[in-house]
Amino acid sequence: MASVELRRVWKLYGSVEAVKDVSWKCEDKEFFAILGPSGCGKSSTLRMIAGLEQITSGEVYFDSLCVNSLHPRERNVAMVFENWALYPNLNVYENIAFPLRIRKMPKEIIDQKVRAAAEFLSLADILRHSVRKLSGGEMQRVSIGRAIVRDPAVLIMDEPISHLDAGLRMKMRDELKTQISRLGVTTLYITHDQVEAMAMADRIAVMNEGCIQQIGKPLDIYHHPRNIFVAGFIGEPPMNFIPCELGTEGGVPLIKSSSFRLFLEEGRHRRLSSHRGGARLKLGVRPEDVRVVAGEAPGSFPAEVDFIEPQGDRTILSLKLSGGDIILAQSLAESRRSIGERIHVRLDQRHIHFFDDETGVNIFHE
Amino acid sequence: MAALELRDVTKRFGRVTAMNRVSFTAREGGFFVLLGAPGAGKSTTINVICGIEKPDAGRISLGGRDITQEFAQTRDIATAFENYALYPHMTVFENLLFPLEAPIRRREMPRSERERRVKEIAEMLGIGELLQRHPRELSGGQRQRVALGRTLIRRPKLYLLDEPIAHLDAKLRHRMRSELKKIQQEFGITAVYATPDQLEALSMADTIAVLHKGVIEQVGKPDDIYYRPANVYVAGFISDPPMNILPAELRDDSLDLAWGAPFRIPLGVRERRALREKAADHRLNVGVRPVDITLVSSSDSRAQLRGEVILMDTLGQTAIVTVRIGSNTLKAKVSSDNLPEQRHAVGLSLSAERMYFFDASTGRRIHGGEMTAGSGEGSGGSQR
Repeated sequence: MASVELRRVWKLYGSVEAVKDVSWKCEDKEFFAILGPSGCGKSSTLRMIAGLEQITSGEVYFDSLCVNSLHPRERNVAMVFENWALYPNLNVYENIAFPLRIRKMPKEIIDQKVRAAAEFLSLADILRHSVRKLSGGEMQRVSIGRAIVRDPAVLIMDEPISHLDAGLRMKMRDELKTQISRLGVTTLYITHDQVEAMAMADRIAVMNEGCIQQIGKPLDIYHHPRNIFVAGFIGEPPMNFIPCELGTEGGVPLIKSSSFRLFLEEGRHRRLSSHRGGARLKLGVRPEDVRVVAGEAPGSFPAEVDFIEPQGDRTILSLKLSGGDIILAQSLAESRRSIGERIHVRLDQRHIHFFDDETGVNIFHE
Repeated sequence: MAALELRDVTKRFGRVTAMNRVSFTAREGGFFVLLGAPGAGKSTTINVICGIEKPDAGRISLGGRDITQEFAQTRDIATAFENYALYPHMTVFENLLFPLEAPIRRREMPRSERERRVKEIAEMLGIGELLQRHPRELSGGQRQRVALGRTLIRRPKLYLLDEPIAHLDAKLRHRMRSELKKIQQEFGITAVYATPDQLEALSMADTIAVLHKGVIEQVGKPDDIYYRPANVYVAGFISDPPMNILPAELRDDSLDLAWGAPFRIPLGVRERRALREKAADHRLNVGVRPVDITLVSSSDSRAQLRGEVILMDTLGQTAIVTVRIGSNTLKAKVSSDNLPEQRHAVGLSLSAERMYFFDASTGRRIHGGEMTAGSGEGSGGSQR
């Protein structure tokens, strides 16, 4: 096992900058997710780590060893792909043994290693089965077995479960997470699905347009997104953004939007008034922090119920504000509201964010 | 607009039975959702209704008229698929006008009337400003509205929508759900909508049909499907994560979970009587939704079950905690503010009122789940 570190890594395809100045360190035995929409540079990053792609500039280190000039085979990286890529003509045993056979290891050692891996992954009883007849979960384990049998420095998983339907995806997610934590192997997990990254990873690196947007533990990123991209990408239903302006009234800072005026609580407005950027902001609030209140009250503002989505254990309301903005509100109970009803809402000030309209930076995070 | 009715429709492909005696009625002006996992037979059902496939047996009628043997063109059904299939070289205006340009329509409607219809529909869909643009100049949401407009303009008897918003990102999906539903209500459209997404079904449907391996498992209102699932399959499908299913045996005054160690669920007199009447051989499956499990300390007197935390998925506001009890696991969906520790003992508190009881051999629900949801808005917040 090894740690993986990227130092100021760039990847250019012609004049297209696919990866821009990316630096991070994944610790030994850490489960590290690289999360972003398609085209964000996550696949280029992983291909450079595996050695399948030239690094334009910067260095990749495994522990203290710079691997830039090493051949993929010398890097000792194991990869698990979306389709498991098993050899259909070989049985479970031979699939796991394959990477050792091509290294021409002695038979006894191969046998020992394959059996140890199979034992660990609960595949010992089906070693002689054809992989064609395996369940999805078993194929996944065989694929992991083949990856770990040669003691790789790092295990890379590229969207291994995103193609599965919802029910199965959840099962496989559990299984993967369990196996990886038992194996204690350094894992780089590439995905576009924020739920997967949040649920599985020790830490997440969020990427967009070739750049790292934020690196942190799942709940830290959720509660303290560094910019508007991260805020909108993490969480479902997504965070609401409402354009607003920072002003004052009687010397007190005030948030003005076309739909409401909001005086901020003490600690919050001190932070906001020290903000040196433009006065134009975006207020960000997660649907679960938008409360429907009984009637007009300080800090509340009117809204009209535009749509109701009952979803079993929660209800999502689309609310139309007086200025025309539409925001989502979520409650963990059945809604007694009806479409067209006029209500009042209040935002939970402990959980609202302000983003600079130009830079997108979270002002409370600066 | 007319009600659609399927009676015992069967469709086979070689040895595979894609639809097995499927029967349902889609109410006039209603939003009917076909819900099922991939491969359940949703698309085959859509194709059979619109006439792309011919059923092997059964009858399909639209507005009381048998259309089973009719050609697709004469069925007066509009279909929207996931890719909008707009003509890229035509403007929005031309795309919308296209269905009215068929010779048969041109005869019955003068040009000025056709153009008036296009403008009217574009206004209603909020795309009046975009008429001179080409599809490539539109956002995903706008394109979908054009595609919808093109089907609306012919005013067909029935709309079929096969996973029309599956590929949109989360934010747009919420918008489109509400837009689709509003348009459907405004125009009084009869819609049949196929999706694998249970949340989409619950939030949009008037009526849901749950399909599984070509068979209808249950037809009902969203509330019926969620709170009164007909069987174990439906109960497991409509819930994220799926409902926990625990095999159990009915004793004199309790339910014993068949999990090696004696885990008991105390029962009231009424439940005991009800279960004894309905569970033929005293073997049951108990269903508990992950949201209905409360995690407490393992020494807490409320803990009916005890286990070890083996997985914890933090999803933001909520977290899914997997607890191992003996050789089995249970999932609980809890607030992520107050999480137990990994690999530590934890107690689980389940309330009998929130349990579902299924016959172990048939899978049918025999008791529980009659109650409706608790009330009180903003309770999501109070958990923080």
